[in-house]
Amino acid sequence: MMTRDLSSFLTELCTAGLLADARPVEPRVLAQVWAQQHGIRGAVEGIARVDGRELRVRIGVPARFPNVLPKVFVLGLDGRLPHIFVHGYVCYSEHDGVLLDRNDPVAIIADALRQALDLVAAGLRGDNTSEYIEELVLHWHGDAHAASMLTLREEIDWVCGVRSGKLWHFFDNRAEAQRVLPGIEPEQVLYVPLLNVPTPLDPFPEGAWKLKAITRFLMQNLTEEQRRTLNLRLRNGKRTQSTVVVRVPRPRGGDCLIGVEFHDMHGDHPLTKRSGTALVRQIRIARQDRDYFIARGGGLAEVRGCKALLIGCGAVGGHIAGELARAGIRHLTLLDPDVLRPENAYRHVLGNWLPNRILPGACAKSHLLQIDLSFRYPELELMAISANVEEQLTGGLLRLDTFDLVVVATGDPNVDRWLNDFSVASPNAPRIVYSWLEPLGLGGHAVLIAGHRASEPRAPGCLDCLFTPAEADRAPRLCNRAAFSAPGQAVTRELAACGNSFTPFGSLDAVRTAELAVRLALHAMTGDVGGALLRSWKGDPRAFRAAGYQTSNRFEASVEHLEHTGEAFAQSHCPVCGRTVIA
Amino acid sequence: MANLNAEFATFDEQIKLDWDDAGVLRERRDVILRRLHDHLGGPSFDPCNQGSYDLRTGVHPLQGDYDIDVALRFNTTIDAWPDPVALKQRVLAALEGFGSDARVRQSCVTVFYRRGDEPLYHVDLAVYAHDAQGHLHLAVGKVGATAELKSWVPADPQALGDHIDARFQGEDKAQLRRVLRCLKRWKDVRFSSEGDAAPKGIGLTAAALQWFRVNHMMDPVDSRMHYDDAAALLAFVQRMHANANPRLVARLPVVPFSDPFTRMNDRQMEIFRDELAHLETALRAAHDDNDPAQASETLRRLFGADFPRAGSKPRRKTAAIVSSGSAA
Repeated sequence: MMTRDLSSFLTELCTAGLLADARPVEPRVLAQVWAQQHGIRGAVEGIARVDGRELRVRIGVPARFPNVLPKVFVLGLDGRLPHIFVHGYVCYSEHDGVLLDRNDPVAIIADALRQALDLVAAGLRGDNTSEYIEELVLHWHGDAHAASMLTLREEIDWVCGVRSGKLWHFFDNRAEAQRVLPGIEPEQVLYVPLLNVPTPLDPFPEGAWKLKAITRFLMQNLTEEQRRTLNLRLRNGKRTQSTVVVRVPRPRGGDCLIGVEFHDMHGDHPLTKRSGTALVRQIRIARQDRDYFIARGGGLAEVRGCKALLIGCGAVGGHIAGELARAGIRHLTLLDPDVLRPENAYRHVLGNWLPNRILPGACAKSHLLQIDLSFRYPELELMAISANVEEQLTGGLLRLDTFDLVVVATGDPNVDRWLNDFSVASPNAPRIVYSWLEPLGLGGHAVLIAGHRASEPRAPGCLDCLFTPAEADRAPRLCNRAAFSAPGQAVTRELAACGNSFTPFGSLDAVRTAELAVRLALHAMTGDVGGALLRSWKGDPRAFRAAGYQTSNRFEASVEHLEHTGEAFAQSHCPVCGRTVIA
Repeated sequence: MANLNAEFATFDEQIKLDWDDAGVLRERRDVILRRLHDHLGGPSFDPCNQGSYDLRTGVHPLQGDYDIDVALRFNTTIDAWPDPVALKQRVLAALEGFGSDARVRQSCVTVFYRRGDEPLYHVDLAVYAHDAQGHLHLAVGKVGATAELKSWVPADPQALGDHIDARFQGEDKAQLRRVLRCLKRWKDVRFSSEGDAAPKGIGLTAAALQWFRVNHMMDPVDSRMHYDDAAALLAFVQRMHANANPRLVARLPVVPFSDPFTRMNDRQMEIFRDELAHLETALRAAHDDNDPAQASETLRRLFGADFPRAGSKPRRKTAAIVSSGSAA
């Protein structure tokens, strides 16, 4: 808002009847910390009536208003209220995810003021004390900071911390600490989980918490058994300092972590029955553990323990690997016999990566992908194998039934069909998703095949059902019934010489196919879909047709049908699964 | 469950008599028609094909005696020719000295071609004239027959084809023709060709127009339509057998609206009924048989050696190495 506009806008606010005795805040007051901290360019001040009390209120107009929310400050409150911070700043709304009526800035201010005063009124009545816990991390005075990779659990336990000045990193164990931060000696840190949403202290402390407030808050919210456990673990200790990480369940779900350093301890540990004395330093902890990231990234709780095998680490497989990792699986084995070829740099997720430029054509795709993913997602368990799937499975080097999920992106129907034969014949097999794409942006496909156990009926349908002609087909031919390309066309384009052929497709096609495959896999893992299901995305056929190729009848089906509904395609006369289905 | 549709398709290709196969016959027909134009001395006529040749339901005969039916629609009236045989004799006279054996038969004038004593093929010339309303009538009767055995019978050589065209189009009609060809070959294999022992092809066609139902299914994945000839044939045979109670009556839906099976006596009809039952049983057994090889042997006993032996594995008609068109 321009200065001249701001001045007239403040005048308009003063006459809008929002506050009694409203007047613009003087420039010298705007130079104070409260305004500077919040980027306030102009403000009005006046009196608001809240539950019979008269409160002095400031409405601050930030420089980017009305693209951002105005700030509301309530002055002169006794004691602390939820959502009200230093300088009386009222956090009345999330800043993200709001739509503002930018054509009516006065109405925006009026709504903001109403919401802020409602919050103050609730606080004065004591209706929302649980909100102290919801925003405990914000109220936790941070002398020190930490990043936590801790896996949240229910038991009191020793974990590891690596300290660097006022910065901590917390890990589940010593090995993990040394893997991520090698060369720095970790310290023993006590992990204490509160099992229920805690009751806030009354009154709730302002500023830094003292030892007494911290111990009271913790002890009153631990269970009797937890207090006994702590007493056993900490009594008779001769340590003079101790660091504790506390898990705090939040009222609206989820958990936050707070930390405390106890220094100069005299007598017993402050968290024992015969609490001694100590100096305290609060640690503000940012969670960086896998569960927190996965939940924030839209990952699925159901797949957190999942162990997956990816067969094929090419253009499609590379993206599948990343998406499986981001979905939150625990373990990923990468299997591909090929090296990363520089000519595929512009359609492979690894591009023309440095190691590959130094030793072109010498780096296995699976290993390069493993390295790449391990940098991005250090918590993900990774294993890379540069070999054929046939030799791995027949040699017993890999076992399908040790995985929860197999995703196949070889792009080679002969390998895929061999794997299908192998898995159908195996007593136990996990669910398998096969994926492939078609040239020139025509489309891509993902096929889910249900897993089976020796002791349970096997659902009908396997990959070979797609290669099995309809029973009434009078002219059966070798083709994939799912194909968008009409059968009998050679669409591999020769580039230079024998052995150098390639199928023309781009990175976006690979991304879309990978997405289709991973979504299908995740839906299967969460029980949303089952059995044998085919889903396909279809693209713009113009390039394909311009190249002289013809599309199949199936390409004419609707996007809704192909991509969302999907097709059950099991053939009762399939030579692979038809005779082995257990009714 | 054996899928023998590919074998049925091959069988049809084997037995089907089409224009290409009938090239010699076509040439002979044209020569005959030119001869008639040149030597008939009136009345004039318009020729057209009729019968199985016209309906495309013809099959290669087992004994090699091919035939072609040609309608001669004379531009005259039955009143101008009260003796239908006289007009047929006019046709016969025009063919005199033609070099081939020609005879007036009950429903046509037939020109025979032989190699030595072995019949090669023949051309049937059906003679038609109009009544006062312009409707066509077929000249029936032999030379020397009494007046009661000579008549002008209402008939239209193209009506049946038009009726079929109106009821069946495209691939549906193609399946009807395949099923009829299949039954015609069955008839040739299983029945004596003497007299009226075998059901006539026109009778099977009339039965099909009453009881044949197209059988096809859309593959839900690749959206291709598949015609299940084996199932269509079985269902058709089932219905014919169920309606042969005790005689099978199948009236033509066009003039003369007659039942072509009436000429079969009761014993012949009984044999026909038994053969239908046998065919139905065999088709069902082949369908239910898990071994395609064994199923095909069952059908070879009914359709003859032109029905191909199936392997134990499904047959593909195309190459074993094709472009996959897929990548990742």
